[in-house]
Amino acid sequence: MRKITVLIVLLLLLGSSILAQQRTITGTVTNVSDGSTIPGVTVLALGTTLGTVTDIDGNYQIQIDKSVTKLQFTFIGMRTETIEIQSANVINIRMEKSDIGLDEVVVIGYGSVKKKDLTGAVVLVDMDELSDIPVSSFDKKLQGRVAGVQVTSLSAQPGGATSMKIRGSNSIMSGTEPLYVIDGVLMEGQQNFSWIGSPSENGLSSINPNDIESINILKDASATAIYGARGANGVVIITTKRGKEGSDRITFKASYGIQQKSSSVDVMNAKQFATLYDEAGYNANPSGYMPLYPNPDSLGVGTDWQKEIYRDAPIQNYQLSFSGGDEKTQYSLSGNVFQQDGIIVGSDFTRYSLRFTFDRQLNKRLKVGTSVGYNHTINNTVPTDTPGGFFPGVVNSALTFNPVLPIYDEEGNYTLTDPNADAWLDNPVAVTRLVDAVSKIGRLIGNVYAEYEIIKNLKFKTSLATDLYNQTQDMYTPRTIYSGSFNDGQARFAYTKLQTILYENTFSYNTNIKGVHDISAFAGLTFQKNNSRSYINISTGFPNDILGYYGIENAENMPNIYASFAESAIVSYMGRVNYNLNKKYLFTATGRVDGSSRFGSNYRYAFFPSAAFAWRLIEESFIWQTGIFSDLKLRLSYGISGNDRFYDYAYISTISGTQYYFNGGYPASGFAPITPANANLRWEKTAQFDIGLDMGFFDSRIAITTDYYYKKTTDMLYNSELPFTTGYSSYFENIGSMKNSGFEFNMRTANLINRFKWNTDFNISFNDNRILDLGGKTLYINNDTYKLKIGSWSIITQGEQLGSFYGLQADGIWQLDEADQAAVYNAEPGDFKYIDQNDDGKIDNKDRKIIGHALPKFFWGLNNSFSYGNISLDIFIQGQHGNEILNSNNFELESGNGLSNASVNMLDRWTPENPSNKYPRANRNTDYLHMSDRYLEDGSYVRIKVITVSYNLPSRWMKTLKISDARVYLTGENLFTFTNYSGFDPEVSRFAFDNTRIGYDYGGYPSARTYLAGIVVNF
Amino acid sequence: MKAIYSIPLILVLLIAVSCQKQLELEPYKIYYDNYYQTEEDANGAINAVYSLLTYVNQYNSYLWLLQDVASDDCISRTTLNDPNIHQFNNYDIETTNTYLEGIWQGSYLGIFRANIVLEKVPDIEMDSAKKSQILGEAHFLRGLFYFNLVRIYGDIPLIVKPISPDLNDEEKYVSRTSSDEVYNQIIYDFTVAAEKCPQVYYSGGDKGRATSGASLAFLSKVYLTIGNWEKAYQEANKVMELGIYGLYDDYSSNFKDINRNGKESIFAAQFYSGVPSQQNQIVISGLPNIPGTFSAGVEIMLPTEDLLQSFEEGDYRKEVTFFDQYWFDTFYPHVWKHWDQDTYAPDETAQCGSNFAIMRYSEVLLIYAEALNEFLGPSSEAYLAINTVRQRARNGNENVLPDLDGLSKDEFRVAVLHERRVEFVNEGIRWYDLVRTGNLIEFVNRAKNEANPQEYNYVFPIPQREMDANSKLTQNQGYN
Repeated sequence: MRKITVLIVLLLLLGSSILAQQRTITGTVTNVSDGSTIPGVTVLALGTTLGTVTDIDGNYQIQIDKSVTKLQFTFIGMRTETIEIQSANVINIRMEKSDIGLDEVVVIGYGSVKKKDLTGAVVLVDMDELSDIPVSSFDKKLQGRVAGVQVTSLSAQPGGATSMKIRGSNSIMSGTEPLYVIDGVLMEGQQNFSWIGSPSENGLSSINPNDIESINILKDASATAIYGARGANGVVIITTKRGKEGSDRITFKASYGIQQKSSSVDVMNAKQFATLYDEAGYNANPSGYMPLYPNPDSLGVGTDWQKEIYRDAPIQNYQLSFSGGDEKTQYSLSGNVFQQDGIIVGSDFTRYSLRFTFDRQLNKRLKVGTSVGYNHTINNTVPTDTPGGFFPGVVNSALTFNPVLPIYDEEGNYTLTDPNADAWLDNPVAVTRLVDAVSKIGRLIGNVYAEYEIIKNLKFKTSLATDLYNQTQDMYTPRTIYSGSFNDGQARFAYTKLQTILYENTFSYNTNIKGVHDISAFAGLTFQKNNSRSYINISTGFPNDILGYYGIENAENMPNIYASFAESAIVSYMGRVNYNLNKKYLFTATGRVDGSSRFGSNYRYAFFPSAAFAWRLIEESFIWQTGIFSDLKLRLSYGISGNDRFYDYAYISTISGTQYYFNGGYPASGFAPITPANANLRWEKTAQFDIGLDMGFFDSRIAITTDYYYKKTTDMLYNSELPFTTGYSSYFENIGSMKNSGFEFNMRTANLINRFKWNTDFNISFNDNRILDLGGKTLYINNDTYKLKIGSWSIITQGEQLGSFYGLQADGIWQLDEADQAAVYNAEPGDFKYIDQNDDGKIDNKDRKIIGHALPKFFWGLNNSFSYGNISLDIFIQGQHGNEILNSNNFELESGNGLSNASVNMLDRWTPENPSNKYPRANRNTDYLHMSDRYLEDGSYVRIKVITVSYNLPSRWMKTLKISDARVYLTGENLFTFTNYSGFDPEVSRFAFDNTRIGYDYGGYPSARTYLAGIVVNF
Repeated sequence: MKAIYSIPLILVLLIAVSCQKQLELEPYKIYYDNYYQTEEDANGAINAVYSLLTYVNQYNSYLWLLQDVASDDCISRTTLNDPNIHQFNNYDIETTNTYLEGIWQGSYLGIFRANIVLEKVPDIEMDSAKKSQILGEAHFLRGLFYFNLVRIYGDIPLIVKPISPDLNDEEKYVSRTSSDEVYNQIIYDFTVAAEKCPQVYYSGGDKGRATSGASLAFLSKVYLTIGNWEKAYQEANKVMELGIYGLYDDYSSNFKDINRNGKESIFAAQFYSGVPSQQNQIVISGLPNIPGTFSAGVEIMLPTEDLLQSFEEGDYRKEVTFFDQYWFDTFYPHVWKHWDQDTYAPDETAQCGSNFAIMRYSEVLLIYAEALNEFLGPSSEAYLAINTVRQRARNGNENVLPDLDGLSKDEFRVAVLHERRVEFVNEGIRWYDLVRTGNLIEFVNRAKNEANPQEYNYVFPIPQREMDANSKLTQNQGYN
């Protein structure tokens, strides 16, 4: 008996000591990006064969020997984590996406492939990395992040537009923005005309960036040709968040920040201006001039107009989302409020979004799902980037308004205008406070799909997507504003509706023969119909300003009404085959036929093919044996895609109404043709060749992707000038060709990967744009402004780039000892001097030449991420080099005529005692309206764009609150810009999406620096 | 089971077939092929020609601005920030001048639309009297546009048929025709218009349309311009004998809205204050800029001392034309002739909807006088005509502006030229008068120091933009 007891005790002791040698470690594995738990993670006790897998809630439990010191966590697509086991028995870890992973899934048109099987140039952008950047739309986040993709902010006004050029500008007259694919809907980012004086709005800002999971950018023809007549400018595929298998998750995000004006342009104060004004008058007429300001010192500083219109402005974002699901059903629901006030009083942007997705696997074969998102944006705007002369925008008015004048007159009303100006100026302070201009957009994007597996490996998918867009633009200018005083107030009331329906049907087939031949094929038929209408009513003659534009029915004068209706449709057939031989040789071929109602009747259908080949050299023994590379792939592709972005009815000769009123008001409506017909009107064709190399070293700790491409656009749409004697001024024809060629380089390195992590991501792109052929024609781009009549300032012609500045060459200022020579040119010492290129004693059109370029030579981005434990730091810098900008604000600010306020630089103006060679003398009659390189400045810049410091709150604090993950962060955006450009911001474009007018700065909305704090909590 | 597999395929095929049809969309637009079918379309077509008259590049600025600033009547305000206007003032005219480009563009647009009427309307089934009227109006307007073009640019492309909707090179690029041939076409157009247009329009909504009297008046002016004196006075006489037109007792009545399209108005560009794009800029173009009173005054041009001094003592027209004081503000004389003070308060001048007279009856009388003098020397009929105009300008004061009598032919010629000048200030006439009488260089030199017109400035250059677009055009001598 005793023996058994002893045995039992011994066994127990042995057992307990054995047990004492073992430990049970438990924990939860979550995704660092959104805190979701990850089932299926392999947990391995290093040094043993012992392992387990996390369950559906991401929990694991593993019993290990004391001798085990490390646990390793692996999961496909995520970076492997190795954790030292210490005293704690609970080890929770966060795993992050392994962004150099070759198994990563990349979305291509109508499908997806693993990165290692990709034959084209496609870049995947993980939006979670960019989630902290405080901007109103997702395209702004992409700036500097992707090789070959140049993102430029066109207006810093909240809700302002951004231009994205993928591998250069492909066209002159048609759109050059890429095609965006969101939730199955194909859309163009460009926005409609603004009737309320604001710069172009951003169509993409009616999409909530927080709903985006990832963005795939298709750059080369093998990727874009599948989009046929809309793929020539590249394609941006946006994948939105949907529910995932796993326990229910709740995420709450909040952020709040302040934006401040980040740059300034200084102008004179009252005393300085008054002195200049009278000096200019005297110099123009020494014998007869009577000074307007006999005692400038008494005027003091006067009014700082700029100070009155700028302010610090908050920016905030709140998001709440729910998602979850199991193997059969997944759902997600999210809501968001975003508000950004602008740094100019009277401007702000608000967006409310709501989104719902649902996916359900009904049975083994049939899956259905839907996603619906509704966004409502409200954009209060102020006029900027206007033509000048007649009521220029507030930025320009604040620069040029007479500082001697007070903001309010003696009666307490806003000063109406500056009577000495040679432009019709509105009081900028009054405009920002009294003019009510608002654009409201309600947009519904949704789709519903069904996917049916007909037989094994053959799937059929049908989906219906819709984009319903309703926009109102309303504006009221009361009579207390100068521009509203002429006709007793002016109201504008505009309504635009766009509807798109897209119906897609696709078959996809995959098969693998003997593990050697892997074939996947896809064929599809899609139909898209677009419908638009717009209506605008401009009314004047209001009895009072009380109702603003709501009182539009009280207008006493006949309104001006414009309305338009348009419809277009596209039918497309497409197919693609991918053939993968032995995992080494990859072939892709695609073809698409598009029939579009926009094309002339002789060219209804277009065909777009492409072919690509990739060689996974890393699979070849002669490569992997060397041990140098961890990945090596060569890619070649060639294909043709198209651009159909022109007016819906450009191929017929449309007749439009005319106005005339007999005998004091009897209307005589007339009709006359305004455009000629063109039955040969068709899409522009872009053929692109790409050769690329993907390399990995040191187990992909260094990954490099580099591409060289050559794109040629032919049948380029051109608005050819017609002689006026035909009764027309121009018509669209397909002539001309243009090329873009360039080089892209992207390198990602995981420099340090242990407890202290450091990753770098660098990209740089070079592009050379050149116009090859324009049928011998040259397009002179003229200034459209009433004010700055400088004639042509840019030229589009064979052999040159887009955005070539055209004008005289400035040669400083005439000096005293050059008085005789100056007289030949009707100038005096102190006046502007130009080079007389042909030496004929005259400065005229023959002395003009190409004097600069608006397109940059290269652009780049550099991101460094550091993390140590729970803290991480991201620093992102980007830059652009080699482009020039026409700072046309300086025509007025440095003219010296005293008819507008002047830059402080003019304190250094030419006088006989101060013979400046840069700034002219004060002269009321100065001859300053000549386009030259005087105001052409280098627009190169390097910008510290984003710095984010982020802290993951330790999990022990979280447990009590049932929070699985929480993170706080501080972000600075647009922190510092190194540039020689003297205007507000080197990212500027007065003419928004117009490709014929780039690099022009006139009264653009200044950009802001943002400081922001935020929190992300996952339950 | 197998049958189900085919459902997707059938679905897709059905969609494919129906979708094809969708590509043939009937546009939401009127276009060339579906218009010009009915009487309404004919009205629409002719009204579209009239609409050019209120264009800024026609009678809502360029066609009187040019004639004032390039003559001895006006100078452009020196502080005006528009080099294009100063080019006219200083006779330093570049081929890229925007005003010349605009006048060319607007005129040819009007000609194109008139050509469409003349080509398409004859085939429309409609009331024949109405059809004849519309065709007559088209001839009149085409004649008017060509008359302006030939006087400003000299030899010009002569196009009498609208270009077909699918353009072809022959019709696109047309070379210049000699001005003599152009004048023949103009005479033809006005002659046909005189036959087809009615003498009077009875409906209020038609007053302002071209009449046969207007066609005859322009015919006489064309003959005067080319020096066919006999025909000039004969056609003018026909107008006088119609008995429809007469002079107002008060010169200023011509410019009041209440007298719109009245007895002295033979043809006028019809403006309307109720629609901003149809408002007449002529008033604010001349007014001084006085905040609070004339806050919209642009004062593009100012009268020359030469013009101000040229008025005879007591000429009522001087005070109707100029003012140099308004309440407490005094200033250099500005033109206020076109401002109908009965209808528009000072701060409403920007909304002026007054008509702009292109031909008044007093001009017919002066054409008669001038042509008759050139043809026969001073005769009693010639004196009667010119003295009728002078008598009205006395405005009841018999001590001023004595009747002309006992002049030589040359003296009469000078007298008529002077009478035209003081009668038609700011009505877009003076420069043409200086050119056709060969007095351009002398008179402009006398009035302005800064201007130095040369022989080649008797015509203006073909717009550079047009030279660039059409290689068949040649430039006028002296301009390059």
